Order: sequence, then structure tokens, then C-alpha cells
Amino acid sequence: MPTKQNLLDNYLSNIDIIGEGLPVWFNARRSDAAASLNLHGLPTAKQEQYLHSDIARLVEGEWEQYFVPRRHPAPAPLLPDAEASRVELMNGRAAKEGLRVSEEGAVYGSLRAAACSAEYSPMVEKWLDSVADMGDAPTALTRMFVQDGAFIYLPAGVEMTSPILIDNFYHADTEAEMCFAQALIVADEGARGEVIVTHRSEGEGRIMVGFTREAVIGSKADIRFTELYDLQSNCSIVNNNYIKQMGESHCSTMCCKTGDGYVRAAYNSALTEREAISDVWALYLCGGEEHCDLNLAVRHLAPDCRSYSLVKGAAADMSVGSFAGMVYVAQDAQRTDAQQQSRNLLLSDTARIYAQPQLEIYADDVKCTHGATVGQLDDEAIYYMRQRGLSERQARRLQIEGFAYDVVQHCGCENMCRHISELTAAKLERM
Amino acid sequence: MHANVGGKEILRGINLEVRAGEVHAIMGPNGSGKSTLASVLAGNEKFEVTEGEVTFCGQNLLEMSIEERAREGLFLGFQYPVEIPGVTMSNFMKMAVNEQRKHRGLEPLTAGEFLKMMREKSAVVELSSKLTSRSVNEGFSGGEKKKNEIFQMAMLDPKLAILDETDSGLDIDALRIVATGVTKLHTAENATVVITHYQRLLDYIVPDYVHVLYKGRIIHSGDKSLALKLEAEGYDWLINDYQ
Repeated sequence: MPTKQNLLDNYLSNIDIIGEGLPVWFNARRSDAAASLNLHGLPTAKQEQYLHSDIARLVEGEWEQYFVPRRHPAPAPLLPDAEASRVELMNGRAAKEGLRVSEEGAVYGSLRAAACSAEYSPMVEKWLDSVADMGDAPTALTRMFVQDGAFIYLPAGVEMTSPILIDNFYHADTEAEMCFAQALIVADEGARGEVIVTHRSEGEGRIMVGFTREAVIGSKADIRFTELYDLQSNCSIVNNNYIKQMGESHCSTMCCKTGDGYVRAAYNSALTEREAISDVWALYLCGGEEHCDLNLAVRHLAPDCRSYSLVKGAAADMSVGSFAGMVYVAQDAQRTDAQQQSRNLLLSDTARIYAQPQLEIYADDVKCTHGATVGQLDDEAIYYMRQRGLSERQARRLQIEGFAYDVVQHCGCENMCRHISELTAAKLERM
Repeated sequence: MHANVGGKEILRGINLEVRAGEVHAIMGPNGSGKSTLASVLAGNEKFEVTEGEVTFCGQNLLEMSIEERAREGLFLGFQYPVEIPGVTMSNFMKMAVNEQRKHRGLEPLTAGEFLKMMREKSAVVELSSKLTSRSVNEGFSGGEKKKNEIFQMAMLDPKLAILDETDSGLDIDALRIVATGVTKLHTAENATVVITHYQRLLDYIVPDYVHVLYKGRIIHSGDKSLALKLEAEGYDWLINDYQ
């Protein structure tokens, strides 16, 4: 397969510069990832998990890759400085070097800096790549090329009063560029905090982003993720998230695709000890010829864990929305309580929505529900709103906004919630 | 005026004139076409007007879209108010009020003015202010839904309000509150058409005219005493006469 070979050739011919300045163990795993990619190849639509995302086609063609830091125009900040601690990544590279410590004691900054620091290198070495599945080709591809990213560490008992923002900004002037980044979040016992991850893009050139995020949530820790895909139509992202939860931990994820770019995102949670709780809310809005493919997998590996997921999507014009959900319940994960819901709105005759909820249960004392619906806007509600003076367009928009609100309301940060609502409204204007 | 739904003629020649300051009650047995009349006037696209014309304040109503009719001052109180998940009452009303103001060449209300208006108008039907921050009609009781209709009527101040069985499903107290609310909103400049099965509503909303609709036609009109007679004797005497 030429594309895979191109990528591997590019890796081999730049191997020294890619790994420059990074620890030996970091680069050794890079070559493991390359071996894995070589073995598995890039997924095509023939593979179950990538049924609706042909990654091989996505990365086809000529792409530039830069292995030395470059200057990019700085984007406008998303949240005021006072409201968030921030890690800004430009095409996968941290804009500021080094690590910082928040007032509450959280450590945050560049993954590269953490991997190289005497203090945090052992932690990064221990946890990085420990949750991710290198058998997944895009995850291996990202790992093969990654040079930087974000690192967040919440020591035991730390309670954040404001969110930490990982602000990803992708920029290509004219040429097509491929870039990669990885994030590692470690929350020790009883830590609490919110992490917001945003993906934004600018420029005339096409961009393809490979992103992997790993999170290790210690026992009794409570971590809330908000992830926003606000990409231009010429920017595509393949984002794989892996979360490992310990006993009595709680992790919630809210993600929204309000941009126009191609999104393939997977959220994998492993509940490895008793009484862990996972909540996921996801929303995608697609118009034009856009594509959004969400994969959710929750693995119940210990008894008495609970998981809930709600995925809502709306597809208009010629767009394609896809959701695949998997709840896996291991043999000894008794008294599992798992709920998985997918609600979709088909807004045109030519749009397509695929929903594939799946359960795989090996324990006998469990409560698992799943459901998926694909419907249309409620004509009665539109008539009702028009009777009060709203135009048909306004009524349709308001109804979709209401549909989206179920997900959007789960963003913990008020300003971010408002920002997402505005992006949702703006997206609906474009749809 | 004649109107069809799915090729079946439901309204078979309605003649009705409503002037400013008047209250009309429309009664009639089930299936006589009362709700259809309300829907046709509101512009519900399920119905097709096959003959006749409707003039509203000098304009051809049938040429207007649903929202144009609403912005010109026609209000329909729904028999079954629709639930709209995720859309808050206050957001919905703010858009509706401002659309109607825009149509009349007025500036949109400021947030403060709007809140004040919400408070004043929700008092008309004793609607809890908690409900206005919830999603439209979602989880509202039957009584709350109907109060909410009249609250919206108060917010939008229509020239013509058509209330389709606003009294159905209401307990005695809620009926009094809703009906008193409608009466409070009545002025010499506006008009109300109430569609009802029961005379009890008309104790509060005193009609100038009572019409009986049967098989898509108004077969009899009278003053408020007609409603009392219908309550006592039913429709048979009129239907027999008509046939």
C-alpha cells in the first residue's frame, strides 16, 4: 500500500530529527509504533471500526511534515487568562516551553518538557502509551511521528477551581500539512478538575491532524473533559481518546463538533476498578458534504461500575454522520449499569446517518440498555413556533438548538458553554 | 369558505364576520369542524382551502404564510400545545415578541424590558415564573399548558385570538384563572373567538355571539342565551331542524 509506505519512508528518512532531544525510551516506543503500523496497515472502510471513515483515503496524496518548530500566527485566546490555565499547541507543538504549576498545585504544559524533565519523566514513561491501543493504526501513526503535545498532572487531592485548556490551533498557509500531537493527563487519588480540549484551524492549506489523548483517572478522582471540534472545512482530524479509570472515580466527557472539518473521533473508557463512573455526551452537526464519525467504547472490567452515554447528531445536505457505540461487560463485572443512547436528526433526503449501538456482555447480573433513533424535525413544533411569529427557518433552527442543548449544557465552564452555544448557532446558520 | 384535509371536505361553507371588540363562541358536536376552522385560519398547511375568501383587517389572509398571519396579529391558542424539548419558554417568547415587533417597525426589547414584560404577563394567568425558564410545555401539566397559551397571548397582544378548546382538561380553579385571564386581555380593539364544548367557560368569557357548527357549516347563531339552551337541551333540536 503506497500511502503506508510513504509514511514509513518519511519516518525512516527523518528518524534522527524527529526524535532529537527526546529520551531514548520515548523514541524506542516510536519505532514500536512504526512496526505496528507496518504490520496492521492503514484502516480502510473494510474494517468494522472504520466502516465509515476511510483513513487510508484520508491520508492519501502529498503532505508536508515539519519536524522542527515553526512560527505560526497566534490565534485569539478562547477564554480570558483569569479563567483558565492554558496549554497552547500550534500544529501539535507547545507554544510555550516548559511546565507550569497552577495555584492549586496542578502541573501543566508541554508533553515534550515533561518527558525530558527529571521530575516528571518517570511518570510520563510509566503512563504514556499505557492506555492507548497501538494496534489501532491511527494511534500508532500519531505515536510514530509525535514530538510534543500536552501534559497535565493533578496530584492527589488537588481541586482545580478553574479549567485547564488545551488549545490546539492548526495552521497551514498554502501547502497540505500533516501534524501530530499527543496528550497525557494523570489525575491522582481524589483530584478534581476540568480539562477543555479545543481544536481550531486557519489558513488556506489543507491539514490532517492525528491526535491521541490518554487519561489515567486515579481512585476517587473526578475529572471532566470538554472537547470542541471547531475546524475549517480544509482541516481533518483523527482523534483517539483513551481513558483508564480506577475505583470510585468519575470521568465525564462532553464533545461537540460545530466546525466544518472532517472529524473521526473515538472515546474509549476502561473502568478497571469497582464503582467507577463514566459519562459521555456528544454532539455533531454536519452540513454540506461534511463527515463526522464518532466511536464510543466503554469497557466494564470490574463490578459495580456505571456508564452513561448520549450521542446526538444532525446531518443536513449531503453530509454523513456516523455513531458506533460499544459497551463491553467482562465476566466478573457484575452489577454493571450501562446506558447508551444515540439520537439523530436527518435534515435532508440526501444526508446519511449510521447508528450502530452494540453490547457485548459476559456477566450475568447486569443492567444494560441501548437505543438508537434517527428521525426528522417535529412539524407540529415548527407549526407551533411559526404561529407565534417565527419564520420557518428560525423555528427549524430553534428546534435543532434545543436538540443540541441536551449535550451542550454538560460543559462545566460557563463561558465555554456560551462559546459552544454561539458556535452551534453559527453552525446552524451555515447548515 | 370551504376547506379539505386529505381530499375530504371538512368545512363546507362557513360565513362569519368578527369585528373589533367582539367575543364569538363557536360550539358544536365532535367532528363538526371547529378545530379545522381554527387551523385553517392559522394557516396550518395540512388543510387546503378550496373555495371562498378570508379577509383579516383588510388583507387577504389566505395569501399569507403562518408567520405572516401571526405577525399581523392572529393568535391561535392550541387545543394540544406542543412540547419543544431544549427550547426555553423565555428564549422562544423573546424571539416571537421581537419578530412581531420587527414586523411593526419597532426596536427589539432590551433584556430588562423583556423580563419585566414576562413578569407582568405571567401574572395575568398566575403562571409560575419557574415555568418560563423551562422548555416549552415540556413536563407542564394540562392546566399549565393551557395557562401557558394564554400567557403567550398576553405577551403577543393579538388583534384576533382564536382559542381552541382552551377549557378542555382544566379543573375548576384553572378554568377560572384561564378564563379570567382571557377576559382581562379583551379590549375594544381586539376580538376573541372561543371554541368550546361547555357553557361554563362562557360564564367568564361572555360572548356577544354564539354559533353552532355542524358538518362544516354554521347552522345557527344567537346570543349568549343560546349557549345556556344548548347546555340544557343538547344539539339535537338544531340538527333536526337543519336536516
